[in-house]
Amino acid sequence: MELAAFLALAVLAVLRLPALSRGGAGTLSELALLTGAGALFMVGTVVPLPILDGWFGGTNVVNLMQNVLATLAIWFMTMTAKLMATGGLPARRELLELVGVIVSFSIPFFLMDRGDTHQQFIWAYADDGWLWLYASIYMGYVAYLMVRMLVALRHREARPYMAVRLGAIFMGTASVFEIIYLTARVFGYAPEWLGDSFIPLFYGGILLFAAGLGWFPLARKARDLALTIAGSLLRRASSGHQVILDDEDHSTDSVAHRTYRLAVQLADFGNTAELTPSEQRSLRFATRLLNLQVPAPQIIRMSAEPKVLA
Amino acid sequence: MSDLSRSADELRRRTAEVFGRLGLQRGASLAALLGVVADVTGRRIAIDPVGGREWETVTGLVVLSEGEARVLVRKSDPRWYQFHSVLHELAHLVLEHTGCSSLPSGRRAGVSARPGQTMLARSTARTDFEVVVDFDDAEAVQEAEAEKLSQLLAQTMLGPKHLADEAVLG
Repeated sequence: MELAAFLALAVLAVLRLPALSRGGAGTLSELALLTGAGALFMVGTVVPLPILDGWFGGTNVVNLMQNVLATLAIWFMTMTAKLMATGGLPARRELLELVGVIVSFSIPFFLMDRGDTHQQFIWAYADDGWLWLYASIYMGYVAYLMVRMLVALRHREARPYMAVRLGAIFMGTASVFEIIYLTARVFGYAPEWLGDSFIPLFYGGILLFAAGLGWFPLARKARDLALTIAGSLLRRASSGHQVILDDEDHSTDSVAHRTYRLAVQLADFGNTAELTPSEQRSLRFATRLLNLQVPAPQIIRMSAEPKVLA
Repeated sequence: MSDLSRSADELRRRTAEVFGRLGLQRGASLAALLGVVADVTGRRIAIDPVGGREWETVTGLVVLSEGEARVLVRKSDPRWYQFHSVLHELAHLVLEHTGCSSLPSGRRAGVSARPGQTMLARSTARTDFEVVVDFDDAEAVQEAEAEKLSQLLAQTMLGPKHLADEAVLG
């Protein structure tokens, strides 16, 4: 599951790499993907954990790096959601809060006796008070960020946000369960079902996040491809007519508008003469796509009054 | 009647200038455009899909009366094509084209202007009316200006439903 989550984030991060230079929410969301993939790399998904941890002294330091990167990823994602909701960039207070939390959970990590590399570091040392503090601060902040993200996303209407919301609920729940589990361990209880629920919930949440966020670039590429094909079919079908698409005014057109212009011309032609079967087919295909591109209701019946100036 | 373009360059300049004045946001909805056009023209604007194939080459028309413009589009057309006809008719309005009560293309649609009304219609009797323009023919120039402006509007408005989300996450 960790490997699947890593691959999903890594592929998405590579696919969206140009977003890094976009600025604003585009950059923040790409940073979230990159740090998220980094965090999952540190779990030992690609390089075995003993080797990875060995590079840093073999005292489970990768666990801290993993959690710092995960905190950064979730913070960047929360800031993306906030920026999309309010238009506001991360505030100084939020930045200080982030640094404060990372420092706060790093201190108990360095104070505890961490022993040699352990595949299940947190669960192996769960009855240690310092570990409880380290993991609880981290998990508590993750749960808090998930709530903030859900609040920031509450007005977003696009369907892929359902997956993102569900992912946030899963990860938030996993974090709270983990705190309860670790607290129980400190007091000598071991509710394993609670501990065992962490991985499916947390990594399942990451996969849902990736699915929701991945929808947007994939949908755009699929749509552009379909519109390009529709445009080619229209151009080929219209080759017998006077088509006026590629004049100098339209060099910057989007693929949707290029296809739209061709479709308008062919549909106009169809009003005065019978279209060939191939023309009709290409126009029907373009119609299916263009109907999704026009920002108008299903039935175009509406009215507007001019504003009366006082 | 508003001044009409006398050359292709002037037509391009004029429509770009009018388009700029509308201040339309990328991805704006038709409802938003309608509000802008109502404000700019000071008229109530209503759109109704009516008619069918009996309209022949007429895909849309606008009936102008005191304080109101009624845009009629051919109901049998696909939504995107109705949308284009609406843009074309709204373009006539913002370009301050005045219609003519005896427009032949209006008669083709079976809609006649009443006293006090004028009418402009988008007729596709010619498909190249956007670029091949007889600048001595006022009606042809009006059609070419409206078509050019409607394409500028479409270029700005067309796009996915959740453009803002895609701009960030796409």
